[in-house]
Amino acid sequence: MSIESSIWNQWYPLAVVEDLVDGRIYRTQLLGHEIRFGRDGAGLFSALRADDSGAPCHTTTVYHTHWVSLGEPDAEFFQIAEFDEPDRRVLGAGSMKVHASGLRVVENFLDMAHFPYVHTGFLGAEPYTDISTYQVEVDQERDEILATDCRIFQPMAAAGSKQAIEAQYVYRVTRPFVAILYKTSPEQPERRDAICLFVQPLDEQWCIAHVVLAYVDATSSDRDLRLFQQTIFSQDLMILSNHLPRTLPLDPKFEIPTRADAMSSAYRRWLRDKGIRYGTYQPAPAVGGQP
Amino acid sequence: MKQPDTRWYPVAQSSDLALRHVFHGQLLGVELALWRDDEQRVNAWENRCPHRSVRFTLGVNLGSRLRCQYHGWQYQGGDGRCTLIPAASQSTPPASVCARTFAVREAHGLIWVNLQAQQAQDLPAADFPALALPLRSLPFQAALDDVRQALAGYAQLDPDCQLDSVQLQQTDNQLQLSWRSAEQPCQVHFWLQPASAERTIVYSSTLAGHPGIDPLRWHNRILNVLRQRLENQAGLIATSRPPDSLRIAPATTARRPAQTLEVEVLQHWTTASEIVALKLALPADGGFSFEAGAHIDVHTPGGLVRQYSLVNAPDEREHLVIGVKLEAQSRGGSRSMHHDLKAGERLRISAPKNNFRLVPGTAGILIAGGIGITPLLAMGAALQAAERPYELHYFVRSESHVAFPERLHQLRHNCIHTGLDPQQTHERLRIVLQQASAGTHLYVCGPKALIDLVSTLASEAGWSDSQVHFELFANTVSHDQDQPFRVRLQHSGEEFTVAAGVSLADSLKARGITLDTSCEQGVCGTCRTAVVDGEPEHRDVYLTREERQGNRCLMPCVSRSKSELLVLDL
Repeated sequence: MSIESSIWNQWYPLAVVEDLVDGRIYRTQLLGHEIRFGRDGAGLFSALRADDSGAPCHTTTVYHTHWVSLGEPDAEFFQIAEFDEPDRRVLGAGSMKVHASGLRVVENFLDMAHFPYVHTGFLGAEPYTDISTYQVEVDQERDEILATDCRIFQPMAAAGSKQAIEAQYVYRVTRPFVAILYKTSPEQPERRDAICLFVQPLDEQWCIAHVVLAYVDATSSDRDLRLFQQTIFSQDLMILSNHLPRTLPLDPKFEIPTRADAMSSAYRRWLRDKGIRYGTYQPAPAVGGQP
Repeated sequence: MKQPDTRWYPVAQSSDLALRHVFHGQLLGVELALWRDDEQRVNAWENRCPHRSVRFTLGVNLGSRLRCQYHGWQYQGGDGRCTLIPAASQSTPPASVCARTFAVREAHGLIWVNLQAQQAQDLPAADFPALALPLRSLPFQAALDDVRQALAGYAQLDPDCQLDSVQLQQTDNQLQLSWRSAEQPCQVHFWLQPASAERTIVYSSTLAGHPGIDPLRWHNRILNVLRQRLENQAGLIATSRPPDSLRIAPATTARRPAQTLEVEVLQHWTTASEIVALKLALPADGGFSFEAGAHIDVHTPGGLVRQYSLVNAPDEREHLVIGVKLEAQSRGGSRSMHHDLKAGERLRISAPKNNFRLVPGTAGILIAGGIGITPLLAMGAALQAAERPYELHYFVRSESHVAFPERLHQLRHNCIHTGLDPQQTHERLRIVLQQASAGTHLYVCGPKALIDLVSTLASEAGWSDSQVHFELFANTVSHDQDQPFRVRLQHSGEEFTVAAGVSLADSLKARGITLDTSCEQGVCGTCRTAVVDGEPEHRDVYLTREERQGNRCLMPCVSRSKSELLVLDL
């Protein structure tokens, strides 16, 4: 099956900048294709197809991350303005391999309703399980989805938390495999920490989630910030590796949403409208039915 | 195409389904979540929460319900219906949210599942009865037919077997062997479970065996030898995992719980001034489970749909009891319930729904005004049965307005306040709230003025919003802003009225019009319908702002009409 151009021509993350050692060659996979990549002694990033063609890939380095494209990517990259603010702490919080479609990982990232059950004592707790109505907008011009006015009670919202707060979130989806979360900073409640989820689809059922932080936090150590994110992610991992099917169904009758899932419902619709198939669940034709 | 397999197969040993455990099974490639409720009833469900397809086996067996680990959604044993969505804890999950259930039976020390049978269909009698001593179950990395053929030669692996004594009987998935081993009679019985196309689980039982031999170890050794031979033959390494043979069980609409059902009125009596009580029979296979605070939708003889709270005590599940106040401005709902019904007649009702629940494990103060007593009677009885501290305060005009006095007297902590004016009511409530101990929850049901008063007093006394729960008059719990409107179908020209309290989707379905629905909450987009004329009142969260403003479509599962007439492209 050939991969649709809306997926093939995207930029995909391969590594967070600080995780690579100059002069070393790394191997990975992207959309089912073997890739060799690394930085040379001068710190220049490059990547090639590790197949007979040995063709070079388009590369770029932005938002603290090395990206490649196997096809013909757009000239313009989506904007994350927080990376331009000089007082932001920018660091990678880990690259985690997950046995699920990258689309499942993005959708989980956009979901608040699981906090009390999966991130108990950190991002949520019973009996604060109700999700109040939030707004979902598709920005037609930038082709992005935005969820605003998301609020939830959090016992420990971040590494720097001293007390429980009602956290305020804004979620943003910029590409099928890219989502950004803006959440109340414990240190400066009028500003928002940005947590970027850049997903590398290894194939339809496996992915690597690269997490990059752009924080307003002058006190927590890098180690504490990473440890917090990795604790949260390890809790998600147990859920993410137990989806049946591992790919994301776009048929609204296959998995039944509730009002709290308005963002996930909009994400699935946005993928469906783009004709995305890669990493989605395609049910086998019914017995005796048309393929 | 292969025909669906309609046979019963063993899927686990009875002992695998330990107390409060969720056991992971597999049959014909379909993953199963097998669990036993505290009453020992066994459930076999597809291992997939219908919300986000996370395995149920990750979840928690709560004794009568299964809780998914991802979002805490709860599903009741039996019909698999979702009873709680914590993200919307005060509303009733739609009937479409339902675990995929399979027919299941427990017999011969095993759990049996049939992926195709209706629940009512019974397990056929065993071809060969189980023997006295069950052996450990053993998985084979091989297809069922290969395993059955290999097991047919089981006796020959006994070095003392008298070959001319071997007797074999077999069906598709059972074998029974008997032979003489060094003059001793031997007998063994196998049941086979086709977990998937390449994995078969063997359940065995045998006779108590001959003296001096431990039959469990003896048979286990032979089975292991047999398994090793078979797996080597098949060119498989015994330790390798089979390929992922995921199958999603095909959806059937047949198992979907009914939206409404018809019940008989067993009793119809006046319980207080202007209030009648009705006792409704449940159908024999009703099997409702509901909690205190639940209500039902009643299709009144007058044609309107009204909601009435259930007063049932927790151990009272063989019938339903509701109370109906005659509304002075009745549009025909309560009046027809009072005057047009008598014992022996039939009524159409919904399954119980709950928007007004007790918070488990906490103390409660229950405040009722007038007919608002009905859900609080159920709550008081539930708190008393759970041995939780509670007080019931019942505000009524006079003694003759006290409904269900016989039930009130069963409650140890009730206090009836009669004939108070608003100022006195205010003062009485202030004292009640002041004296409450920390951690108590407040439940209020009655006229809007009472609810507003209690909310204000509670807020002044420092109660947090999450501790205060209320329900408006029992007959206006939902859709209280609804207005009836007319609908015309463009293609057939058919025209009808959608009553207040009934969704447009339900009205369409009731007229036999095919309409696909899924979430029934305006989230998923399945039921999207084109609008030819009229102005929809959008209540969904699916459509974009442009679509909403364009008024060319709506989601009939939740949305209604601002204009008197709505013309649909149907």
